[in-house]
Amino acid sequence: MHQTRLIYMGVILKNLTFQYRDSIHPIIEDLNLEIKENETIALLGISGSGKSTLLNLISSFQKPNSGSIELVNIDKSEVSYIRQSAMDMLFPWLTVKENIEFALKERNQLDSEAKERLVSLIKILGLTEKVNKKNYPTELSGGEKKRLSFACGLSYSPKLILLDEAFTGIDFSLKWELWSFLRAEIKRTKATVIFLADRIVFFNSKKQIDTKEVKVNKADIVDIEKSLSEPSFIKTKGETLKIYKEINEAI
Amino acid sequence: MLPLFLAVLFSLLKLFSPAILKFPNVVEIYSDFFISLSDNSVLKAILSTARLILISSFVSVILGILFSFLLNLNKWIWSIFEPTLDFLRSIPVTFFIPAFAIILGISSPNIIWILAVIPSSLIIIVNVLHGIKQQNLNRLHQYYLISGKKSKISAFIKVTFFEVLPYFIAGFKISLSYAIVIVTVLEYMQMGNETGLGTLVYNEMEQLNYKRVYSIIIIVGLIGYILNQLIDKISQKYGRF
Repeated sequence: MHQTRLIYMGVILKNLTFQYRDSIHPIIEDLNLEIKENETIALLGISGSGKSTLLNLISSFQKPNSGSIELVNIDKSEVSYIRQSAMDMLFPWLTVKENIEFALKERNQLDSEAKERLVSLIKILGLTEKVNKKNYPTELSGGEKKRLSFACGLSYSPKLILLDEAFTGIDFSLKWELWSFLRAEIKRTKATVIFLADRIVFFNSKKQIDTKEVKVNKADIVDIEKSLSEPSFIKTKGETLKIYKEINEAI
Repeated sequence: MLPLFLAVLFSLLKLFSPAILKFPNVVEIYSDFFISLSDNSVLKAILSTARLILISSFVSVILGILFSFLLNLNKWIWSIFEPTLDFLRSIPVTFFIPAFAIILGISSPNIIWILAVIPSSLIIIVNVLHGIKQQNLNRLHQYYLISGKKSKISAFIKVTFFEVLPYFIAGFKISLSYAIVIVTVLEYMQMGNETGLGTLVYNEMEQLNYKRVYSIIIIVGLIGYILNQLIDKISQKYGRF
Protein backbone atom coordinates (compact mmCIF):
# COMPACT_ATOMS: atom_id res chain seq x y z
CA MET A 1 0.00 0.00 0.00
CA HIS A 2 1.27 3.45 -0.90
CA GLN A 3 2.46 5.52 2.05
CA THR A 4 1.44 9.16 1.92
CA ARG A 5 3.89 11.79 3.15
CA LEU A 6 2.63 14.76 5.09
CA ILE A 7 2.93 17.68 2.76
CA TYR A 8 1.94 21.30 3.30
CA MET A 9 1.12 22.06 -0.30
CA GLY A 10 1.23 20.02 -3.48
CA VAL A 11 -0.40 17.20 -5.37
CA ILE A 12 -1.09 13.69 -4.12
CA LEU A 13 -2.16 11.00 -6.55
CA LYS A 14 -3.44 7.81 -4.93
CA ASN A 15 -4.00 4.57 -6.85
CA LEU A 16 -4.92 6.57 -9.91
CA THR A 17 -6.32 4.60 -12.85
CA PHE A 18 -7.67 5.93 -16.10
CA GLN A 19 -8.81 4.12 -19.23
CA TYR A 20 -10.17 5.67 -22.41
CA ARG A 21 -13.53 4.29 -23.51
CA ASP A 22 -12.23 2.85 -26.77
CA SER A 23 -9.08 1.43 -25.23
CA ILE A 24 -8.50 -2.15 -24.06
CA HIS A 25 -5.94 -1.33 -21.35
CA PRO A 26 -5.82 1.54 -18.91
CA ILE A 27 -3.39 4.26 -19.98
CA ILE A 28 -2.69 5.04 -16.32
CA GLU A 29 -2.86 2.20 -13.84
CA ASP A 30 -2.64 2.40 -10.08
CA LEU A 31 -0.37 5.43 -10.08
CA ASN A 32 0.84 6.84 -6.78
CA LEU A 33 2.75 10.07 -6.72
CA GLU A 34 3.39 13.03 -4.44
CA ILE A 35 4.65 16.36 -5.61
CA LYS A 36 5.51 18.88 -2.94
CA GLU A 37 5.40 22.64 -2.76
CA ASN A 38 7.98 24.41 -4.91
CA GLU A 39 8.98 21.09 -6.43
CA THR A 40 9.54 20.89 -10.16
CA ILE A 41 9.23 17.55 -11.83
CA ALA A 42 9.32 16.40 -15.42
CA LEU A 43 7.31 13.54 -16.84
CA LEU A 44 9.04 11.89 -19.74
CA GLY A 45 7.57 9.44 -22.18
CA ILE A 46 6.72 8.92 -25.80
CA SER A 47 3.44 10.10 -27.23
CA GLY A 48 0.57 7.93 -26.06
CA SER A 49 2.27 7.05 -22.80
CA GLY A 50 -0.29 8.92 -20.71
CA LYS A 51 1.60 12.12 -19.92
CA SER A 52 -1.03 14.55 -21.15
CA THR A 53 -3.81 12.37 -19.74
CA LEU A 54 -2.22 12.70 -16.32
CA LEU A 55 -2.16 16.49 -16.59
CA ASN A 56 -5.77 16.45 -17.82
CA LEU A 57 -6.71 14.44 -14.75
CA ILE A 58 -4.83 16.74 -12.37
CA SER A 59 -6.45 19.80 -13.95
CA SER A 60 -9.94 18.18 -13.72
CA PHE A 61 -10.36 18.12 -17.51
CA GLN A 62 -10.94 14.38 -17.24
CA LYS A 63 -12.11 12.23 -14.35
CA PRO A 64 -10.23 9.11 -13.21
CA ASN A 65 -11.90 5.69 -13.29
CA SER A 66 -10.58 5.03 -9.82
CA GLY A 67 -8.20 6.49 -7.32
CA SER A 68 -7.94 10.07 -6.19
CA ILE A 69 -6.21 13.33 -6.94
CA GLU A 70 -5.73 15.62 -4.00
CA LEU A 71 -4.61 19.18 -4.40
CA VAL A 72 -3.24 20.04 -0.97
CA ASN A 73 -3.78 23.72 -0.16
CA ILE A 74 -4.14 24.46 -3.84
CA ASP A 75 -7.51 25.66 -5.09
CA LYS A 76 -8.57 24.57 -8.58
CA SER A 77 -8.52 28.23 -9.58
CA GLU A 78 -4.80 28.33 -8.71
CA VAL A 79 -3.87 25.79 -11.37
CA SER A 80 -2.35 26.88 -14.67
CA TYR A 81 -2.10 24.63 -17.69
CA ILE A 82 0.29 25.75 -20.42
CA ARG A 83 -0.14 23.65 -23.53
CA GLN A 84 2.08 22.74 -26.45
CA SER A 85 -0.31 24.39 -28.87
CA ALA A 86 -0.39 28.01 -27.74
CA MET A 87 -3.65 28.70 -29.60
CA ASP A 88 -5.40 26.10 -27.44
CA MET A 89 -5.06 28.45 -24.50
CA LEU A 90 -5.46 31.81 -26.21
CA PHE A 91 -8.74 33.50 -27.07
CA PRO A 92 -8.38 34.63 -30.69
CA TRP A 93 -11.22 37.15 -30.41
CA LEU A 94 -9.32 39.10 -27.78
CA THR A 95 -6.26 41.28 -28.39
CA VAL A 96 -2.86 40.35 -26.96
CA LYS A 97 -3.39 42.71 -24.00
CA GLU A 98 -6.94 41.49 -23.40
CA ASN A 99 -5.67 37.89 -23.38
CA ILE A 100 -3.02 38.68 -20.78
CA GLU A 101 -5.50 40.59 -18.59
CA PHE A 102 -8.34 38.09 -19.08
CA ALA A 103 -7.69 35.81 -16.09
CA LEU A 104 -7.30 38.65 -13.61
CA LYS A 105 -10.33 40.48 -15.01
CA GLU A 106 -12.46 37.38 -14.64
CA ARG A 107 -11.31 37.08 -11.04
CA ASN A 108 -11.86 40.78 -10.34
CA GLN A 109 -8.20 41.08 -9.39
CA LEU A 110 -7.05 43.54 -12.03
CA ASP A 111 -6.04 46.35 -9.69
CA SER A 112 -3.27 48.88 -10.28
CA GLU A 113 -0.65 46.61 -8.69
CA ALA A 114 -1.65 43.70 -10.92
CA LYS A 115 -1.62 45.97 -13.95
CA GLU A 116 1.93 47.05 -13.12
CA ARG A 117 3.01 43.44 -12.82
CA LEU A 118 1.41 42.62 -16.17
CA VAL A 119 3.22 45.52 -17.82
CA SER A 120 6.55 44.13 -16.63
CA LEU A 121 5.45 40.63 -17.70
CA ILE A 122 4.67 41.98 -21.17
CA LYS A 123 8.04 43.74 -21.28
CA ILE A 124 10.01 40.68 -20.16
CA LEU A 125 8.31 38.52 -22.77
CA GLY A 126 8.90 41.07 -25.54
CA LEU A 127 5.24 41.63 -26.31
CA THR A 128 5.10 45.40 -25.74
CA GLU A 129 4.92 46.24 -29.45
CA LYS A 130 2.13 43.75 -30.04
CA VAL A 131 0.18 45.14 -27.08
CA ASN A 132 0.61 48.71 -28.32
CA LYS A 133 -0.45 47.76 -31.84
CA LYS A 134 -3.55 46.03 -30.43
CA ASN A 135 -2.65 42.87 -32.33
CA TYR A 136 -4.70 39.69 -32.12
CA PRO A 137 -3.08 36.31 -31.34
CA THR A 138 -3.58 35.13 -34.93
CA GLU A 139 -1.37 38.03 -36.06
CA LEU A 140 1.59 36.81 -34.00
CA SER A 141 4.46 34.54 -35.01
CA GLY A 142 4.76 31.03 -33.50
CA GLY A 143 7.31 32.20 -30.92
CA GLU A 144 5.23 35.23 -29.94
CA LYS A 145 2.16 33.04 -29.49
CA LYS A 146 4.20 30.80 -27.20
CA ARG A 147 5.38 33.82 -25.18
CA LEU A 148 1.81 35.05 -24.95
CA SER A 149 0.60 31.66 -23.74
CA PHE A 150 3.19 31.79 -20.94
CA ALA A 151 2.11 35.33 -20.05
CA CYS A 152 -1.55 34.23 -19.88
CA GLY A 153 -0.78 31.08 -17.93
CA LEU A 154 1.32 32.88 -15.35
CA SER A 155 -0.58 36.16 -15.13
CA TYR A 156 -2.54 35.08 -12.05
CA SER A 157 0.46 33.68 -10.13
CA PRO A 158 -0.73 30.05 -10.03
CA LYS A 159 0.39 27.70 -7.26
CA LEU A 160 0.42 24.67 -9.53
CA ILE A 161 1.80 24.99 -13.05
CA LEU A 162 1.24 22.20 -15.56
CA LEU A 163 3.24 22.40 -18.77
CA ASP A 164 2.22 20.01 -21.53
CA GLU A 165 5.26 19.90 -23.81
CA ALA A 166 5.25 23.68 -23.65
CA PHE A 167 8.90 23.76 -24.74
CA THR A 168 8.44 21.50 -27.74
CA GLY A 169 8.70 22.84 -31.27
CA ILE A 170 10.46 26.09 -30.43
CA ASP A 171 14.03 27.14 -31.07
CA PHE A 172 16.63 26.82 -28.35
CA SER A 173 16.97 30.54 -27.58
CA LEU A 174 13.23 30.94 -27.02
CA LYS A 175 13.18 27.70 -25.03
CA TRP A 176 15.89 29.08 -22.79
CA GLU A 177 14.24 32.50 -22.55
CA LEU A 178 10.90 30.97 -21.48
CA TRP A 179 12.56 28.56 -19.09
CA SER A 180 14.43 31.42 -17.40
CA PHE A 181 11.22 33.40 -17.15
CA LEU A 182 9.40 30.40 -15.71
CA ARG A 183 12.17 29.81 -13.17
CA ALA A 184 11.93 33.41 -11.99
CA GLU A 185 8.16 33.05 -11.61
CA ILE A 186 8.53 29.76 -9.71
CA LYS A 187 11.03 31.41 -7.40
CA ARG A 188 8.66 34.31 -6.80
CA THR A 189 5.47 32.29 -6.27
CA LYS A 190 6.97 29.06 -4.87
CA ALA A 191 4.74 27.18 -7.27
CA THR A 192 4.75 23.45 -7.83
CA VAL A 193 5.53 22.56 -11.43
CA ILE A 194 4.86 19.43 -13.46
CA PHE A 195 6.02 19.45 -17.01
CA LEU A 196 6.00 16.97 -19.82
CA ALA A 197 8.64 16.29 -22.39
CA ASP A 198 9.07 13.65 -25.07
CA ARG A 199 12.85 13.75 -24.96
CA ILE A 200 15.53 14.26 -22.37
CA VAL A 201 17.89 16.22 -24.63
CA PHE A 202 16.71 19.47 -23.08
CA PHE A 203 18.18 18.53 -19.73
CA ASN A 204 21.81 18.16 -20.56
CA SER A 205 23.33 17.50 -17.17
CA LYS A 206 22.29 14.01 -16.15
CA LYS A 207 24.48 13.96 -13.04
CA GLN A 208 22.40 16.60 -11.34
CA ILE A 209 19.03 15.03 -12.00
CA ASP A 210 17.44 13.00 -9.25
CA THR A 211 15.24 10.49 -10.99
CA LYS A 212 12.29 8.43 -9.97
CA GLU A 213 10.56 5.86 -12.10
CA VAL A 214 6.82 5.62 -12.09
CA LYS A 215 5.17 2.77 -13.90
CA VAL A 216 1.88 4.01 -15.24
CA ASN A 217 0.87 0.88 -17.10
CA LYS A 218 1.99 -2.61 -17.78
CA ALA A 219 4.87 -1.70 -20.09
CA ASP A 220 8.48 -2.28 -19.08
CA ILE A 221 10.25 0.37 -17.10
CA VAL A 222 12.89 2.12 -19.13
CA ASP A 223 16.46 1.99 -17.96
CA ILE A 224 17.09 5.53 -16.90
CA GLU A 225 20.87 5.56 -17.33
CA LYS A 226 20.63 4.08 -20.80
CA SER A 227 17.90 6.50 -21.79
CA LEU A 228 20.03 9.44 -20.76
CA SER A 229 22.88 8.39 -22.97
CA GLU A 230 20.62 7.21 -25.78
CA PRO A 231 17.51 9.39 -25.98
CA SER A 232 16.09 7.26 -28.79
CA PHE A 233 15.93 4.30 -26.42
CA ILE A 234 12.91 5.83 -24.74
CA LYS A 235 11.08 6.03 -28.03
CA THR A 236 11.49 2.35 -28.71
CA LYS A 237 10.53 1.21 -25.22
CA GLY A 238 8.00 3.86 -24.41
CA GLU A 239 4.76 3.58 -22.52
CA THR A 240 6.41 4.41 -19.24
CA LEU A 241 6.52 7.79 -17.62
CA LYS A 242 9.79 8.91 -16.19
CA ILE A 243 9.76 11.42 -13.46
CA TYR A 244 12.72 13.71 -13.11
CA LYS A 245 12.98 15.43 -9.80
CA GLU A 246 14.80 18.60 -8.89
CA ILE A 247 15.01 19.85 -12.43
CA ASN A 248 15.72 23.27 -11.01
CA GLU A 249 19.10 22.05 -9.84
CA ALA A 250 19.82 20.38 -13.13
CA ILE A 251 19.15 23.52 -15.10
CA MET B 1 -17.27 44.78 -62.85
CA LEU B 2 -20.83 43.74 -61.98
CA PRO B 3 -22.56 46.26 -64.36
CA LEU B 4 -20.22 45.11 -67.13
CA PHE B 5 -21.03 41.45 -66.47
CA LEU B 6 -24.75 42.24 -66.55
CA ALA B 7 -24.32 44.23 -69.77
CA VAL B 8 -22.67 41.20 -71.42
CA LEU B 9 -25.39 38.90 -70.07
CA PHE B 10 -28.22 41.14 -71.29
CA SER B 11 -26.55 41.46 -74.71
CA LEU B 12 -26.26 37.68 -75.00
CA LEU B 13 -29.89 37.20 -73.92
CA LYS B 14 -30.98 39.69 -76.58
CA LEU B 15 -29.12 37.68 -79.23
CA PHE B 16 -31.09 34.54 -78.38
CA SER B 17 -34.48 36.11 -77.63
CA PRO B 18 -37.23 35.89 -80.25
CA ALA B 19 -37.78 39.17 -82.14
CA ILE B 20 -41.44 39.21 -81.14
CA LEU B 21 -40.51 39.72 -77.48
CA LYS B 22 -38.84 43.05 -78.27
CA PHE B 23 -36.13 42.30 -75.75
CA PRO B 24 -34.60 45.60 -74.58
CA ASN B 25 -30.95 46.46 -75.18
CA VAL B 26 -28.43 47.15 -72.42
CA VAL B 27 -28.84 50.93 -72.53
CA GLU B 28 -32.63 50.64 -72.24
CA ILE B 29 -32.35 48.28 -69.25
CA TYR B 30 -29.89 50.50 -67.41
CA SER B 31 -31.85 53.68 -68.07
CA ASP B 32 -35.03 51.99 -66.84
CA PHE B 33 -33.16 50.76 -63.77
CA PHE B 34 -32.31 54.34 -62.75
CA ILE B 35 -35.85 55.53 -63.59
CA SER B 36 -37.37 52.68 -61.54
CA LEU B 37 -35.46 53.83 -58.46
CA SER B 38 -37.64 56.93 -58.35
CA ASP B 39 -40.82 55.02 -59.21
CA ASN B 40 -43.17 54.86 -56.21
CA SER B 41 -44.48 51.37 -56.99
CA VAL B 42 -40.91 50.02 -57.20
CA LEU B 43 -39.83 51.75 -53.98
CA LYS B 44 -42.92 50.39 -52.24
CA ALA B 45 -42.10 46.91 -53.57
CA ILE B 46 -38.49 47.18 -52.36
CA LEU B 47 -39.62 48.14 -48.86
CA SER B 48 -42.27 45.42 -48.80
CA THR B 49 -39.89 42.66 -49.92
CA ALA B 50 -37.03 43.91 -47.71
CA ARG B 51 -39.41 43.90 -44.74
CA LEU B 52 -40.34 40.25 -45.32
CA ILE B 53 -36.70 39.26 -45.82
CA LEU B 54 -35.69 40.98 -42.59
CA ILE B 55 -38.59 39.49 -40.60
CA SER B 56 -37.84 35.96 -41.83
CA SER B 57 -34.10 36.42 -41.21
CA PHE B 58 -34.67 37.79 -37.71
CA VAL B 59 -37.03 34.94 -36.78
CA SER B 60 -34.63 32.42 -38.36
CA VAL B 61 -31.73 33.73 -36.28
CA ILE B 62 -33.71 33.55 -33.04
CA LEU B 63 -35.10 30.08 -33.77
CA GLY B 64 -31.81 28.85 -35.22
CA ILE B 65 -29.71 29.83 -32.20
CA LEU B 66 -32.36 28.74 -29.69
CA PHE B 67 -32.84 25.28 -31.23
CA SER B 68 -29.12 24.75 -31.77
CA PHE B 69 -28.36 25.21 -28.11
CA LEU B 70 -31.40 23.23 -27.00
CA LEU B 71 -30.36 20.37 -29.26
CA ASN B 72 -26.86 20.56 -27.90
CA LEU B 73 -27.93 20.35 -24.26
CA ASN B 74 -27.32 16.65 -24.20
CA LYS B 75 -26.67 13.75 -26.55
CA TRP B 76 -30.09 12.23 -25.90
CA ILE B 77 -31.97 15.29 -27.19
CA TRP B 78 -29.63 15.49 -30.18
CA SER B 79 -30.11 11.81 -31.08
CA ILE B 80 -33.89 12.29 -31.09
CA PHE B 81 -33.95 15.44 -33.18
CA GLU B 82 -31.09 14.79 -35.60
CA PRO B 83 -33.17 12.53 -37.92
CA THR B 84 -36.00 15.08 -37.87
CA LEU B 85 -33.57 17.83 -38.79
CA ASP B 86 -32.15 15.84 -41.70
CA PHE B 87 -35.68 14.90 -42.76
CA LEU B 88 -36.86 18.52 -42.86
CA ARG B 89 -33.72 19.72 -44.64
CA SER B 90 -34.42 17.36 -47.52
CA ILE B 91 -37.89 18.76 -48.24
CA PRO B 92 -38.13 21.66 -50.72
CA VAL B 93 -39.87 24.61 -49.11
CA THR B 94 -42.50 24.74 -51.88
CA PHE B 95 -43.80 21.40 -50.59
CA PHE B 96 -44.79 23.11 -47.37
CA ILE B 97 -47.01 25.63 -49.21
CA PRO B 98 -50.21 23.52 -49.18
CA ALA B 99 -49.84 22.74 -45.47
CA PHE B 100 -49.31 26.35 -44.47
CA ALA B 101 -51.90 27.61 -46.99
CA ILE B 102 -54.55 25.50 -45.24
CA ILE B 103 -53.56 26.79 -41.81
CA LEU B 104 -52.91 30.44 -42.63
CA GLY B 105 -54.78 30.94 -45.90
CA ILE B 106 -53.07 31.43 -49.27
CA SER B 107 -53.35 35.20 -49.14
CA SER B 108 -52.18 35.56 -45.53
CA PRO B 109 -49.49 38.26 -45.31
CA ASN B 110 -47.57 36.01 -42.91
CA ILE B 111 -47.34 32.95 -45.12
CA ILE B 112 -44.28 34.21 -47.04
CA TRP B 113 -41.97 34.91 -44.12
CA ILE B 114 -43.14 31.79 -42.26
CA LEU B 115 -42.25 29.62 -45.25
CA ALA B 116 -38.93 31.44 -45.64
CA VAL B 117 -38.14 30.81 -41.98
CA ILE B 118 -38.20 26.99 -42.40
CA PRO B 119 -35.09 26.51 -44.57
CA SER B 120 -33.37 29.64 -43.27
CA SER B 121 -33.53 28.57 -39.63
CA LEU B 122 -32.54 24.98 -40.52
CA ILE B 123 -29.37 26.28 -42.19
CA ILE B 124 -28.50 28.33 -39.12
CA ILE B 125 -29.20 25.36 -36.82
CA VAL B 126 -26.93 23.07 -38.86
CA ASN B 127 -24.12 25.64 -38.93
CA VAL B 128 -24.33 26.60 -35.26
CA LEU B 129 -24.47 22.93 -34.20
CA HIS B 130 -21.43 22.26 -36.35
CA GLY B 131 -19.70 25.22 -34.68
CA ILE B 132 -20.54 23.90 -31.21
CA LYS B 133 -19.19 20.47 -32.12
CA GLN B 134 -16.04 22.00 -33.60
CA GLN B 135 -15.32 24.24 -30.65
CA ASN B 136 -11.91 23.85 -29.06
CA LEU B 137 -12.53 21.94 -25.82
CA ASN B 138 -9.00 22.65 -24.61
CA ARG B 139 -9.78 26.35 -24.85
CA LEU B 140 -13.04 25.86 -22.97
CA HIS B 141 -11.17 23.98 -20.25
CA GLN B 142 -8.61 26.76 -20.25
CA TYR B 143 -11.39 29.25 -19.59
CA TYR B 144 -12.58 27.32 -16.54
CA LEU B 145 -9.00 27.12 -15.24
CA ILE B 146 -7.89 30.70 -15.71
CA SER B 147 -11.19 32.35 -14.87
CA GLY B 148 -11.57 30.32 -11.71
CA LYS B 149 -15.27 30.00 -12.57
CA LYS B 150 -17.47 26.96 -12.94
CA SER B 151 -20.55 28.55 -14.50
CA LYS B 152 -21.53 27.07 -17.85
CA ILE B 153 -23.45 30.23 -18.72
CA SER B 154 -20.38 32.33 -18.14
CA ALA B 155 -18.31 29.93 -20.30
CA PHE B 156 -20.95 30.16 -23.01
CA ILE B 157 -20.93 33.97 -23.02
CA LYS B 158 -17.15 34.31 -22.84
CA VAL B 159 -16.00 31.38 -25.00
CA THR B 160 -18.58 29.26 -26.82
CA PHE B 161 -20.40 32.26 -28.26
CA PHE B 162 -17.22 33.53 -29.91
CA GLU B 163 -16.14 30.06 -31.02
CA VAL B 164 -19.48 29.57 -32.77
CA LEU B 165 -19.75 33.09 -34.18
CA PRO B 166 -17.88 32.42 -37.49
CA TYR B 167 -20.06 29.34 -38.12
CA PHE B 168 -23.19 31.34 -37.31
CA ILE B 169 -22.16 34.14 -39.68
CA ALA B 170 -21.50 31.64 -42.49
CA GLY B 171 -24.92 30.04 -41.88
CA PHE B 172 -26.63 33.40 -41.63
CA LYS B 173 -25.24 34.48 -45.01
CA ILE B 174 -26.60 31.36 -46.69
CA SER B 175 -29.93 31.61 -44.86
CA LEU B 176 -30.29 35.23 -45.95
CA SER B 177 -29.81 34.22 -49.59
CA TYR B 178 -32.45 31.54 -49.08
CA ALA B 179 -34.82 34.08 -47.55
CA ILE B 180 -34.40 36.43 -50.54
CA VAL B 181 -35.06 33.62 -53.02
CA ILE B 182 -38.08 32.22 -51.16
CA VAL B 183 -39.69 35.60 -50.46
CA THR B 184 -39.40 36.80 -54.06
CA VAL B 185 -40.49 33.45 -55.54
CA LEU B 186 -43.56 33.26 -53.26
CA GLU B 187 -44.41 36.87 -54.15
CA TYR B 188 -44.05 35.91 -57.79
CA MET B 189 -46.53 33.10 -57.13
CA GLN B 190 -48.97 35.79 -55.94
CA MET B 191 -48.96 34.53 -52.37
CA GLY B 192 -49.50 36.78 -49.39
CA ASN B 193 -47.86 39.95 -50.64
CA GLU B 194 -49.40 42.00 -53.46
CA THR B 195 -46.84 44.77 -53.36
CA GLY B 196 -43.50 42.91 -53.31
CA LEU B 197 -40.79 42.81 -55.98
CA GLY B 198 -41.79 39.26 -56.99
CA THR B 199 -45.38 40.37 -57.64
CA LEU B 200 -44.09 43.41 -59.55
CA VAL B 201 -41.90 41.24 -61.78
CA TYR B 202 -44.90 39.03 -62.54
CA ASN B 203 -47.13 42.03 -63.36
CA GLU B 204 -44.51 43.71 -65.54
CA MET B 205 -43.92 40.44 -67.40
CA GLU B 206 -47.64 40.13 -68.04
CA GLN B 207 -47.44 43.54 -69.67
CA LEU B 208 -44.33 42.49 -71.66
CA ASN B 209 -42.38 45.30 -69.97
CA TYR B 210 -39.06 43.41 -70.05
CA LYS B 211 -36.81 46.34 -69.31
CA ARG B 212 -38.65 46.82 -66.00
CA VAL B 213 -38.46 43.05 -65.33
CA TYR B 214 -34.67 43.20 -65.69
CA SER B 215 -34.47 46.40 -63.65
CA ILE B 216 -36.21 44.61 -60.80
CA ILE B 217 -33.89 41.62 -61.17
CA ILE B 218 -30.95 44.01 -60.75
CA ILE B 219 -32.66 45.53 -57.67
CA VAL B 220 -33.18 42.09 -56.06
CA GLY B 221 -29.54 41.26 -56.77
CA LEU B 222 -28.48 44.56 -55.22
CA ILE B 223 -30.55 43.92 -52.08
CA GLY B 224 -28.78 40.57 -51.65
CA TYR B 225 -25.39 42.16 -52.38
CA ILE B 226 -25.91 45.01 -49.90
CA LEU B 227 -27.12 42.68 -47.15
CA ASN B 228 -24.16 40.35 -47.71
CA GLN B 229 -21.73 43.27 -47.66
CA LEU B 230 -23.32 44.40 -44.41
CA ILE B 231 -22.81 40.97 -42.83
CA ASP B 232 -19.23 40.91 -44.14
CA LYS B 233 -18.51 44.27 -42.51
CA ILE B 234 -20.02 43.13 -39.23
CA SER B 235 -18.13 39.83 -39.32
CA GLN B 236 -14.86 41.64 -40.15
CA LYS B 237 -15.37 43.80 -37.09
CA TYR B 238 -16.59 41.22 -34.63
CA GLY B 239 -15.57 37.89 -36.14
CA ARG B 240 -12.16 38.72 -37.62
CA PHE B 241 -10.53 35.86 -35.74
